[in-house]
Amino acid sequence: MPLDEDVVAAIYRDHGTALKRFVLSVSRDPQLADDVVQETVLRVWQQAPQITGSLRSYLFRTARNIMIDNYRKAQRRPQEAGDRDVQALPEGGVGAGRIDELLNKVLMEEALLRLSAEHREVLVALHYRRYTVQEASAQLKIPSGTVKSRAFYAVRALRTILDEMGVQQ
Amino acid sequence: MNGTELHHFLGAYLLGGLEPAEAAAFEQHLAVCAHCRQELDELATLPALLDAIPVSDAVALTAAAAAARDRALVPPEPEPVPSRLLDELAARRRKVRRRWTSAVAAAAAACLGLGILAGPLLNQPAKPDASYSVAASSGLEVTVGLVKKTWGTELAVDGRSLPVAGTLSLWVKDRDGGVDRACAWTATPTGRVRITGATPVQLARIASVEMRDEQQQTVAVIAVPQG
Repeated sequence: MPLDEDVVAAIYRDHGTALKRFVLSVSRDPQLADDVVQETVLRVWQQAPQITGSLRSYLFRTARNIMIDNYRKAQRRPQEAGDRDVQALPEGGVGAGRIDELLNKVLMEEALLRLSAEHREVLVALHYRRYTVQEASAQLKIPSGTVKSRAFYAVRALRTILDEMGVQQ
Repeated sequence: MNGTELHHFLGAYLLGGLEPAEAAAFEQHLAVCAHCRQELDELATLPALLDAIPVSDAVALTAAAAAARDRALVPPEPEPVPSRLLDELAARRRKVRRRWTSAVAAAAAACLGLGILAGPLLNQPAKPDASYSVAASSGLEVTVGLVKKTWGTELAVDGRSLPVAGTLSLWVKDRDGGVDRACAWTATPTGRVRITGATPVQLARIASVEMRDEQQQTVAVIAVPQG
C-alpha cells in the first residue's frame, strides 16, 4: 500500500506547479498561494477514494472552493487590516465571480494543451485568430481540406477531453 | 461534394471559419442530416467555453506548447515537496476517522484509489514506517505507527476512548497466522493511552494488529495491507 506521504508527494509533484500557477492568477501573495496549494492537496488526499474522473480538474475545483471560502471569510471581517485573505483577491476586489472565470480559463487552457499540436493549431487559427479556412490553409501551409478535417476532429477531441475533465458543458 | 466531406465541415462551421458559400452548403446539409444536427447541438457551448481564454493567451499557448515540447527533451527537476506539507499531513492523519466495522474495506478502497494516484512513485523503495488509524462508532480511536527495526517492528500506539477497566493488550498477527503479543497495559480511567510495543515480526510480515480487552475479546483490528 502506498504510504500517505508518497501519495501526497505524488499529487504535489504531478499537479503542484499547475495548481500554484492557477492560485497565483487569483492571488499575488506567494505565501498565501502556497497555503492554498497545501490545503488543496491535503483535502484531495483525504477524499481520494471517492474521486472519479480527472484528478487535475478536481484539484482545480477544490482550490477554487478554498479561495472562495477565503474570500467570504475576508468579506465577513473587513476591519482586520493586513489580513492575508484580503490580499488573496486581485486588485479591485472582483471576488468569487472572477475566481470562476479564472478557473474556466485554466481548465480550458489545460484542455487545449491536451489536444495534439495539429488540432490546437487549427483551432486557434479559426476560433481565436478568426481566420477563414482559406487563410488558415495559407498560414499553416496545409491544404484547406486538411484544415476542415482537423477542425472537425479537434472539436470532437476537445469535447472528449472536457468530458474526461468533468467540465460542465 | 460528397457526404463525408460535408460532415467534416462541422468543425470549421462551429468555429466560424467557413466561407459564406460553404456555410450555406453545410446548413443545407444540416437540414437533412440528423446526425450532424445532433453533433452540432452537443458542441454548441464549445465556442463560449473557448472564449474563457483571451485571444492573446490562446495564441501564446500554441507557441508555449511548442517550447514545452523542446524543453521536454530535458525534463525539469520536480519541485521538492515542502516539508510543511508532510508535517501537516502527519497532523491530519491522526484525525482521519474510519467507521470501525468497515475499516478493512475502507483501507482496501483507499489503497485502490490512492494506488492510482501515486503512479510512478510506487516503484520507489517504501519508507521504513507506516501508520494506520481506525475509529469505532463508540468513539474508540487507535493509531498505530509501525517502525521497521533490525530486530523486528516497533509499534507506537495512540489510543483514546478505550475500555477503562482491566488489562488491555496489543497483538500482532503475521502473514502465516502466527500471533505475538506486542505489549499489555492496565486500562486507564481516561480511556487514553500512549504506549510503545515491540515484536520480532518484521514489518512486511505483519498482517494485522489487534487490541484485546481483559476477556481476550478483540476491541480493534487494523488490517495491514500487503506492501
